[in-house]
Formats: sequence, structure tokens, C-alpha cells
Amino acid sequence: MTTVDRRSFLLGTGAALGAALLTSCSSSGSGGPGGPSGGAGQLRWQDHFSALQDFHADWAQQQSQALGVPVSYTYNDVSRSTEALQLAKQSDQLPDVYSNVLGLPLAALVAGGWLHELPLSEEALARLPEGSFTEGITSLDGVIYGLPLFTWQQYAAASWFNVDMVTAADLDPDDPPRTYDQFRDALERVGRNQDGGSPMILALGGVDRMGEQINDYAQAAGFPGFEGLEYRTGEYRFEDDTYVNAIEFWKELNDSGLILPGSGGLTVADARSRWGAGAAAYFPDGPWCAGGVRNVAAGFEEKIGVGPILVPEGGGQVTTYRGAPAAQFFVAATTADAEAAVAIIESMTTPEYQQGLASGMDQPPLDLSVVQDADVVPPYATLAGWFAETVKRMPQAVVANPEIARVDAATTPVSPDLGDIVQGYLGGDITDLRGALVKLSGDYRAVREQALESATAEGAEVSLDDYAFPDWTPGTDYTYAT
Amino acid sequence: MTSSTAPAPTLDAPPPGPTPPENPRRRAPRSQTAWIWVFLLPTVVLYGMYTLWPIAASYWYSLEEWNGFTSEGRFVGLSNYRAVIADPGFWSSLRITLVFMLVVAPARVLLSLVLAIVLNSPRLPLRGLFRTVYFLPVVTTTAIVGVVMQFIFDPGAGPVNSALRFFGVSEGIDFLGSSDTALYTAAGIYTWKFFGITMIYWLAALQTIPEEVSEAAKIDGANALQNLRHITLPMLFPFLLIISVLTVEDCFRAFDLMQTMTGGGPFFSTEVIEIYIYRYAFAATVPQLGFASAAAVLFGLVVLVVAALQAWGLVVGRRKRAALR
Repeated sequence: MTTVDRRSFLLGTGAALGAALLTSCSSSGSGGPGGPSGGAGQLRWQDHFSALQDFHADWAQQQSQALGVPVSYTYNDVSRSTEALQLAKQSDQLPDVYSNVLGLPLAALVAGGWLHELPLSEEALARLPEGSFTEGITSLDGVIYGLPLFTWQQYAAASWFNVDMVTAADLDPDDPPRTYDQFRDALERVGRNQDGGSPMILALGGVDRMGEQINDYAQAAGFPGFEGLEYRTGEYRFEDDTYVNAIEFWKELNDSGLILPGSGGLTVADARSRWGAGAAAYFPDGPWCAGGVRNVAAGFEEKIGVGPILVPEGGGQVTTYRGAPAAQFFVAATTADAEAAVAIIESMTTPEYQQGLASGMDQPPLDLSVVQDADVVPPYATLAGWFAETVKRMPQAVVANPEIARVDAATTPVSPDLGDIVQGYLGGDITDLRGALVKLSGDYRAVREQALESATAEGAEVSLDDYAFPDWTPGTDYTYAT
Repeated sequence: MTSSTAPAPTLDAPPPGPTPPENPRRRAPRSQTAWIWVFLLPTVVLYGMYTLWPIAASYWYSLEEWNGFTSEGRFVGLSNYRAVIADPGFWSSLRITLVFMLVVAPARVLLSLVLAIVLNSPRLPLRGLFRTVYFLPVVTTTAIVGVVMQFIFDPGAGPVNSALRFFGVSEGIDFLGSSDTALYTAAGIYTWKFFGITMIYWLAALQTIPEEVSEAAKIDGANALQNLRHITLPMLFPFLLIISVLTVEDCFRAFDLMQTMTGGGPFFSTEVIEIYIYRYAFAATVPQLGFASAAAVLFGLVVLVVAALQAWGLVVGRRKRAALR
């Protein structure tokens, strides 16, 4: 009888493990679950929409049956999605269908081999609102690459509140504060009457969201542009009074003790969770607040109310501006079953999906009118109505000249950015707010000039003039001269 | 006289007599030495893949402009290094890293020495239990410690601030949310978290002091303090250098704790260099892997300089001890 000594055993085991390791490392093209874009007979769908997890899991199941191809759905937290997609791309394992968290212009994604074209049927295109696709943002040379899913008519600074706490302070939840003074007064009343909770919570640790909200406040206060960029002149002017006043307003609330202590380190998700737990009465957030808070505090969505974006003084027409809708879903260039992958995205244009999307109470769907008939809480529908009335289409350099996408691709991030400055000013690290904003404008200007130079050197036909829209009229949807 | 003609034995010559048997370890056949390499192979391969290759790749990436989205970057020479050096954020994070190290390293080395001396006393009851308790944070997952500490130091409902309010500090202190206190709070937590590992080094060092020396000192009338000052501490001095080297190197690795606890904020006040690198490499909307790699290479050089200074200190220390003998 042959005996197996220790050395032979170790050798055999090592060889077996090595073979297994090599097999697993070389799965590219095998078509297994971890293979590139699912491989034949399997589709992988990955996105970062936390409020839509259950809905998308169900929808993937339905599509599996409809297409006759197994569709595996994976939710990936937004903070990890970009890196996950980078790694997937480099190892040739992009999901067949994935959400857009890449932060690169469409032209760069197409050139980089990320995207498969998205040949939607006439029927699907007819189901979408007019103007859903924009050259340079969702399509290139007339070829569609990405599906916009959410409306462009939205802002991130609605004033959400806890109806019970507001009512306890003798405030009318049906008449929410609309101006800075009314809001301050409401916070002070909640502060005097509150029973264990703070008047307001702010995600001061989520600097990107804070920057986004201050941009919205500045627009609502009359800043004639977006993200510091004036539409008419194409110049950066973060030092405008509208920005200074909006930040000073938050600073005043913070210094008055009206904001929950410890907000300095809170991320958006943390702040929303605490608000849902009753830690504070008011919480500025985007439309996704309703769906987001339902995920962490089921039932709390029945106790929420919402007010519109705040303005310094009442009386005037409140208008904010947003650009053309961006692409939310792509098909991977490496998909082994493009037809089925496109079919999944095409299914997102159906009324059933749009209703489900609205019911998730994340960002409202492309067709805002769907919200009114969807299974949503009343404040969410109210907010969608305000969006439809007050958010107008802004001019965009990349739409006027798609070559600007090459400038965007060469643009490097600015640090400290607006959100950092807000955090620094509220925390006392920055004392000269206007000086910091002047510097921020200068930094943005320098980065853009550098990117313009880089793009021009590579043959792009772009100039600073592409950023100026002297014919822009406040309070209207911008239309491009043909 | 044969004896007179015989060559005189020298120190180098083998002693007369029968030839000793060959050392089997020295002359092992190749088939046996090959096994050594077979067993080393996993370590060599994994170390190469996950340590050496990334280091080499970082040097290459630092010469490229690459966002990680495109299949390959564009060679830009030293421009990433120029950009990093011109960025005040880099110098700020480097300063924060060094301040953090200067606060944590002495605290860890000295406090753990005191504790190790106490825990080394044979008269201390339950010293095994105490050693375990003090070592426990070391084996706790750092990211979890970071998250838990957020709750512990929460200015609203955290136990630390509840205690402060109980003792009359009505406003409470936003330990991790204020740029005045965040770095030092993080340094305190880091010291507590890794205190045990330094304590184990000291306990090991204390075992090398012969008991007879202390006994002799006692017989000569030395009290505990004199024993500590004239026997224990001088004999621990050689270990102080190596423990300091290990602790200082350790203090440069605070990413997981800092990222989970403060994320580098508020307003960059706890942004150690690792978080700075991470921010540009992965947290940005459009990552700048070349820029981040250049920052990482420069930081590696700083660590190298610190290590070289410490190595020089070790050599000087050895020479002095040799001279004293």
C-alpha cells in the first residue's frame, strides 16, 4: 500500500491550491458570475441609488423573467462605486449595466472604452419627455450613450422638518418658513419649545453637499449663474453678496446654538439618520430625503413636512436653475449581451418603472408629472410641484459647444472648495469669508484656464467665450441660438 | 625528532585528529534547498505583488497624468512633483502628520514604559488580566474603534460629554468636530488604541534584566526608586532606541482610524498625509492618481529620512555603550 508522507501531502495540496488560484485569476472570458460583464447567459446590473435598492432588486427579477436571462442586481454605496468601477474597468469586469458615478464627460468615457451605444427603440424614445437627450451630455454625434433617469428640475436645499416637533412649537406645518428671517424665527420657537431635540441639524461634515446647498441658496437669492459662474459674463464670482449672505446666515444659526452640537463632523447620511431619530426639527436636504429617511427610520416618512428653498427676503419670484439632464445609466462597452443590456435600460422608460421610481422617493423621475399619481408621501409630491414651477433650464457651455467636454475632462478639482470654506467659516478656521471666496473664484479661474490650454493644445476648438451667454434672461428657460 | 619538525598549530588551522563529520545543513542537496524556496514562494509572491509592485508602480504613476478611468496615463515628467510641492495642502498635511507623530510617539513610549514597570511587578495581583486588558484595544479592528469613538465623543449624547455636563461643563466639548481639539483627541485615541503593543515591547525588555542585579541592589540598601533609576532604566536604555524607532514608524500609519473618525476634517485639521493622498487618488470626482502617487513618493522619502536619523541614533547609541564598556 502506498503511503503519503508529509512532504508529498504538502506538495500535492500546494499544487492543487495553486491551480485553483490560477484558475480563479484567469476567469476573464469564462462567462462566470465574476467574469467580464457577466459573460454569456448572465447580466450584471450595479448602481448606487440607496433609496431604490428594493425596487431595483424586484425590477431585476422581473427583467430576468422577461428577457429569459438571469439578471443579478447589486447596490454599491456611492462612496465606493467610483473606485469599484475603476477597478472593474481595469480588470475587464465592468457590470453590463451600471449607474453614472464616474464624473467624466461623456466624450472622455466613450473615448476611454467605457460605454456601449444605447440604441433605444422609437417606442421607448416616445415615452420620454421632449429634450431628454442632449448632445455632449447623453449623446455624441447623434448616438445615444446614456439614459437620463431623473428630472433636471430639482434642488438640494429644501427645508424638511419633523411635523410633530414643529407642531409642538405652535408652528403651522402647512405654512413652512420661506425666508431667512421666518426660518430663524421658526428655529428659535422650536428651540424654546423643544423637548429633547435641537431646532436644526446640518451635515457640516458632508462638504460637497454643503457647497451644493449654498450654491442653491445663492441662486434662489438671485445669483445670476450656477456654482459661482455667471451666465452672462462667463466669469467666476463666488464673492457675490448672495453667497456671502447665505453662508453668513448659516454661521449666525450655528453661533446662536440653533444647530445640533456635533453637526461639524456629520456626513449627510448620518445627519439624515439622526433627523429621522428625532434629534432635530429641521434638516435642509434634497428630494431624496424622503426615501432616504424611510430606509433608516421606517414610518418616519409619515411625520415629515417640507418647505421650499429659503430666500433672504420674501415677495419675489423664486427661481433656481439646472442644466440638461445627465445620463444615469450606461451599458458597458465590454458587455457580452448588448441586446439584453439595452433592453434592461429600455425597460426603465416604461410607465411601470417610472411609477416605481417615483415611489422610491429618491430624485424625482424625468417626467415630473408622474410623481403626483405615484405612491409617495404628500410632502414629496408638493416638493415635486415646486420644482416644476420654479426650476428653469440654465445655459451650459458644453451644450453650446460639445468640445467643452474636453476642457471638463482636463479640469482638476479645486481645494479648498466651496463646501470646505463653509465648514471652515462655521468652525472658525476661516475669518475672512469674502477673501476666501475671492480666492476660490481665482482658483476656479486658474484651473479652467489651464484646462482650456490643455484642451486647445490637443486640438479642441474652445475658448473662454464659450462660457458667456449674454442673451440669458433671468427667470426663463434658456434656449440656444441655432 | 619528529615532534620538532611538526608544524606549529595555528589558530586558523583545523585541530589535528579525525576529520569531523560534515554539517548536513551546510551541504544539503539541491533537492532539499529547493524546498525552502517552495515554502518561501507564497510569501515572496504575495509580498512582491502587494508590497513591492505597488511601490514600484507608484514611482511610475507619479510621472504620469492619469485619472484611473482611461486605460493609460500621459507621461508628464516631474510636473506632478512640482504641483505637489506648490500645494499648501500637502505641506499642511505633512505638518499635521509630524505633529501627530510628535504627540503620539512620546506618549506611547513613556506611558507604556510606566505601565510595563507596574505590570512587571511580581507583587501585583491579577497582572495577567491587566496585561490582557491593556492589550485588548490593539487587536480590536481600527475602523470599528474609529466609528465607536465618534459616538463616545459625540457632543450631544456621547458619554464623555454627558460626564462633562454632569460635572458642570454645560456646553460640552465638540472633541472631534472642532479643529482646535480634533487632532489631539485623535492622538489620544490612537495612543490608547496602540498603547498595548508598545507595552509588550517594554515587558519583553524588562525580562532581560537579571533579577540578581536588582537583588544585589536591594541588599545594598537601594529602595524601589533608586533601583528603578540606577538599575532598571539604564539597562532599558538600549531598548528605548529600538522601541522609539518602531513606534515612530507606526505613528505614520493612522489612515484607518483618522478616516473613520474624522475623515480628515473639520477643515483639514486632521488630514494626515495618508488621507491627503487618498483624497486625490480615490475620493475626488475625477481622481488624480499621478498627483497622489507623487505625494506618496515624497512622503515615503520623508519617512526614509526619519528612519535614517533613527538608524544613525542607534549606531551612535551602540558606539557609546561600547565605549562605556
